[in-house]
Amino acid sequence: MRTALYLLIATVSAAYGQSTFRKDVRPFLVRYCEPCHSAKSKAGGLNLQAYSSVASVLANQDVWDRIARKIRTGEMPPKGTPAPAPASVRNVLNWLRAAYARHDRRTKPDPGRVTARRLNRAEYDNTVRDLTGLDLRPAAAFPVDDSGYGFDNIGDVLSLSPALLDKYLAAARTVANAAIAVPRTFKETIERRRAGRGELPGPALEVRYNFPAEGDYDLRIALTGRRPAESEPIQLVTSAGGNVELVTPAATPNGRPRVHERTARRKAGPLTLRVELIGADGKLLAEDPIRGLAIEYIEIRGPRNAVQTPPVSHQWILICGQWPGKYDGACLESIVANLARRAFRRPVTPAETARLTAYVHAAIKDGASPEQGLRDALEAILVSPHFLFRIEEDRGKAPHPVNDFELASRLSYFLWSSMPDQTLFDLAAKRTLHQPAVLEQQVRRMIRDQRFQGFVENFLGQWLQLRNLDVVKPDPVKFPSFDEELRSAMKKETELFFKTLILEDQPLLSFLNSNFTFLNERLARHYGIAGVHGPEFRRVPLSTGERGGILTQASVLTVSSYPTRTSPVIRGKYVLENILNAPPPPPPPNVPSLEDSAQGFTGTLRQQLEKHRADPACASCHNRMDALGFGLENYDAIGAWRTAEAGLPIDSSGALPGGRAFRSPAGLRELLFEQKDDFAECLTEKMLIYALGRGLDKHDRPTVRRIVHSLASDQYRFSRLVLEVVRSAPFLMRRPEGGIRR
Amino acid sequence: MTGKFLPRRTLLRGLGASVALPLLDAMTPAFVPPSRTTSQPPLRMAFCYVPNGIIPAEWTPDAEGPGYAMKHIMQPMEPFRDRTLVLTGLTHNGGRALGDGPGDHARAAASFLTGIHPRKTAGADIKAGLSVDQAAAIKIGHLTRFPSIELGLEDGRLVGSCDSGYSCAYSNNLAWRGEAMPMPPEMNPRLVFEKLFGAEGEELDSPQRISRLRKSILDSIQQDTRTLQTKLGPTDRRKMDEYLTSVRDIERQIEAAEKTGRAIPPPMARPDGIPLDYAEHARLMFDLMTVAFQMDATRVQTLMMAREGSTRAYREIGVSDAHHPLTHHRGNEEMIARVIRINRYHVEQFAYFIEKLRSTPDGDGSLLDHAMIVYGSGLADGNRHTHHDLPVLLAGGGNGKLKPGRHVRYAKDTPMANLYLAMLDRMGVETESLGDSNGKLEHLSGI
Repeated sequence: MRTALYLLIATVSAAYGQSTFRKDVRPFLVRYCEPCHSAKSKAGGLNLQAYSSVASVLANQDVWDRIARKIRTGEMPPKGTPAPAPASVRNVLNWLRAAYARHDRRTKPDPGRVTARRLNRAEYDNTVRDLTGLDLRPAAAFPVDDSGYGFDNIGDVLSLSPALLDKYLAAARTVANAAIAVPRTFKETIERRRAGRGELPGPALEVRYNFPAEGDYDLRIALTGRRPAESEPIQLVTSAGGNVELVTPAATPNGRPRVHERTARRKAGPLTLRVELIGADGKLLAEDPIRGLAIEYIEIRGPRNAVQTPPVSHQWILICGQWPGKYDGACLESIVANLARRAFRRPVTPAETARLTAYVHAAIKDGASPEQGLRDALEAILVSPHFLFRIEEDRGKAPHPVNDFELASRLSYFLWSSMPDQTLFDLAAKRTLHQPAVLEQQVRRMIRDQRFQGFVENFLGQWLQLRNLDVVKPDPVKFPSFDEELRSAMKKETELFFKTLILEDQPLLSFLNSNFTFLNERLARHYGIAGVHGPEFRRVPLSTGERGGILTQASVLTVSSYPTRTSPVIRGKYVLENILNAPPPPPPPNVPSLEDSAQGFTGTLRQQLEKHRADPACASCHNRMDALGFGLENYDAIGAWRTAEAGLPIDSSGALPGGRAFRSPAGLRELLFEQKDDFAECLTEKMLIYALGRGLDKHDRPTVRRIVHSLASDQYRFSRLVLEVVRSAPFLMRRPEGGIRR
Repeated sequence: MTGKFLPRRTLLRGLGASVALPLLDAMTPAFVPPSRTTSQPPLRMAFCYVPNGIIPAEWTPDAEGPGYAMKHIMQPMEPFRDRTLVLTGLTHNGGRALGDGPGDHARAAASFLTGIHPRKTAGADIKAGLSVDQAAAIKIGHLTRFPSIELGLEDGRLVGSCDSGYSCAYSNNLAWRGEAMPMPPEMNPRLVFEKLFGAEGEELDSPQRISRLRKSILDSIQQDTRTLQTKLGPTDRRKMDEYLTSVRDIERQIEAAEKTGRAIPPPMARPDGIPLDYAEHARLMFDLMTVAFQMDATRVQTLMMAREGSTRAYREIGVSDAHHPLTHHRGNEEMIARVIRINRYHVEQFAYFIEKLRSTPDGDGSLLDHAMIVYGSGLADGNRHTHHDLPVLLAGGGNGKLKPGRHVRYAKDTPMANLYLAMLDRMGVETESLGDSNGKLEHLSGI
């Protein structure tokens, strides 16, 4: 229907304009809006009398987008005032669309301005991974990146403090040492680990140890505690990297620690060792800090007969010569040039290569090995502004396309949160990447690449706030079933669901309502869905209406709750912000504070909130927020289904802004599903912000409208959204800042 | 705890500072205090921030002067009554809405050390102002390895806007090096330890070589960046300026480490990481802050005991509600009681720090004698978001320039920044004004 509308607009758009504005729109405003939104009363800060011409409307598109949404949903004019006939509402909306369409055709797109973006933590880790082939994750030690507009990849917001530079230097050294091996011998060391600080020894102990080289290592496990002679036998189970290595009857210490010892050949690299004491029932021994058997410590001794295996990073970095030590001058230079080119994500100049190669020669002159010298060069590369920032150059004064290398980085950081791969570099070097067919092909390829996980984690993780799932702490007394297994299952469900919708190129709307999801036994039990056995996730059809779509997934329901209870206000706000694109404004400065309006009042949560909304100052926003939240009250604070709370039945009825009522979560979902364009616009805006690394402003309205329009004409397919974002002027182009210093 | 048996000689490599220590010998328990041949030990300052306000009724003493009774929340400080000033009446006008609407939490943290009304923005153009600690660090930071150290006990919120249209930068940071440059706090005690004592590294590269390399890298980065800047527009140039400032800071730290680097044995074990238990985490940080002062590695420190607007649940003391929503108690006695428990729990941790400083010898006295330690919140009543009558303690002898042991009440709406001006004055840092200050706070050294 929307498509038809657009066709209609295209044909008759010439008829709309100033005369239609005078005929259809002005009288509408005068009659239905201006009684409140006049120059004098200015309800909500809006004065509609100021809009006397098409130009004035087009100059304030952000305001008019809000107006259009309110009259379309029937939220405005409010109840109790004269209601316009549906036909006159349609006329106003049609006029606005036509005016926009004409405006968009006539205006040159403004790509906006992007500030040089520092790599954020995720991008740093991924870039190091793709640069070296080693998944080192040094950014775990970096301070949290500040976010703006809901995302942590916004150039203006990402600052670089001395503390962070400090970490960059340390990380650069760590990465260089790991990525380029220097021939060495390994001394035997002893590492002893105990239960964490302040903890008593328990029946399980886990140790993550970075084995410095391939070699023989002794594992010594000391047990402590006393047990009567006739007690049941206990097994000591040792696993490495999740695989059981050894099961042996546990010795009973009777006072002095008894040590189990075993020698094994280990590969170089980090490995998690776990030791458990298992009782006759096959379960982990209960903790008994006074007398029970417990693991006193784990000791790792080694390596003996060590062999130095070159890390996989050598195949990425040492592209000529022979490790160790055999590289001629030209080879060293090409190693450095290749590293710098990939790290800076663009061709490097001979002067740059020479400056960096100088580190290698300086080290060699110092008596160090060439590998040490290459490490130095890599360290210098990794703290260079050309690595740490994504810098794009202004060319001239007018908006211009970014060059193909800049485009490659825009694509790779958008879809992979990482650097471009060789294919992208090659296409950039051939200067064909920007060609529409090549671009589309690359986007489709990149979505299917496993690095697309970067998009899932960072875009989805921030849009739906799933990252907060890692830090939420539901009250263990109220929600004893919540544990780490459930936490990670929740996240996995939403990630798999999202990825599947994308890979199958389903419509965006399936996010809101779908007849399948992904579950394992733990999560299925949490949802009360029978017949799912085992820890692995699988696609499960949904039939009852209790579940379906992201708003019914435990991940979303948990991050939008307090640790002890649900909050219809937070959930409502979440839906408005992240689904309907209608974020409620913050409460105005003059509203009475919550405590004044609700002092001493007790009752159910719903009653308390309803009391709150009796105040008209609160009601205008809370009517929208709370009602949406009530529709999700059947899900508790960790997303389990419930029909009663504190002995009282759950009332999950409510109404959308504009009055359309629902009686259950399924009803709410159906209504949301109908708000396709709001959701499409919401997701479009979020994705644009994320892709561009900047907030949107009114100059971006035409871009957003174009994308939403083409989504509607392609069944709202996900791939269409990504493609249109990539093809948009802001993504492909750059607006230089005035005043170039030379 | 990690008991690590090291090879006979292990190289400890710090940030820039590189010191080789025979570690086994270093494990002797006796700690050698830094030799101070000069007469007066230096004066230090630290600022400890707690979020979401403190229940005023259980904080503000009724009586003034020396004989006041400490109320329930403050009581853990009773043993240090003679070392503590309780200051009432101080205000951060910059924390108030002033036409900007909601966002009191963001403003509370952003104004706390700056005295500035921060710009309301979700991102693009954050703006607060120079904070008191950084004002000192800029002037006296060159005397120590680190101009200042910023610590925290809670990670910044991971996702979403922080407070009603204010960037998370405002609620996550206390220290501001410049109006657009917050100094993010370090959360991990192990990394703080390694900053002070060095990380375990390979023996292969001599510390001298790495230090020389770093200097050369930083030097060439500066040249690179300046060349790059000529091709950039003003905004990108500003980003690069920020980067250059950091580069110069680190360069200076490396030089300072070479000059003042003193290999002293760590008086504590290398922490494993971030403890789950709040008190344990806090105490580790306070241990490290004490050590940093003791080594004279820095004279200026800040600690954010939780980010502003924190929703941490303090299960350690049986409070499973999130802190922030709980403070909007609407007069509910049960909720108030739980907030009071959290407030007091924070003070208990702080008292540990003060005890630690008091029991650490320094010159002719203790570290506490030669320090000024501020404890407070940018909100008074968290329920109503008030920014006047802020809860503030000033502990320490201030090298004899303070007269502790009293509760002082100031005139209504006295700028909190006046306190900072008075402190900077005692630090020997001449400052005309800071934020909304209108003079140096009086009555700190006497009536």
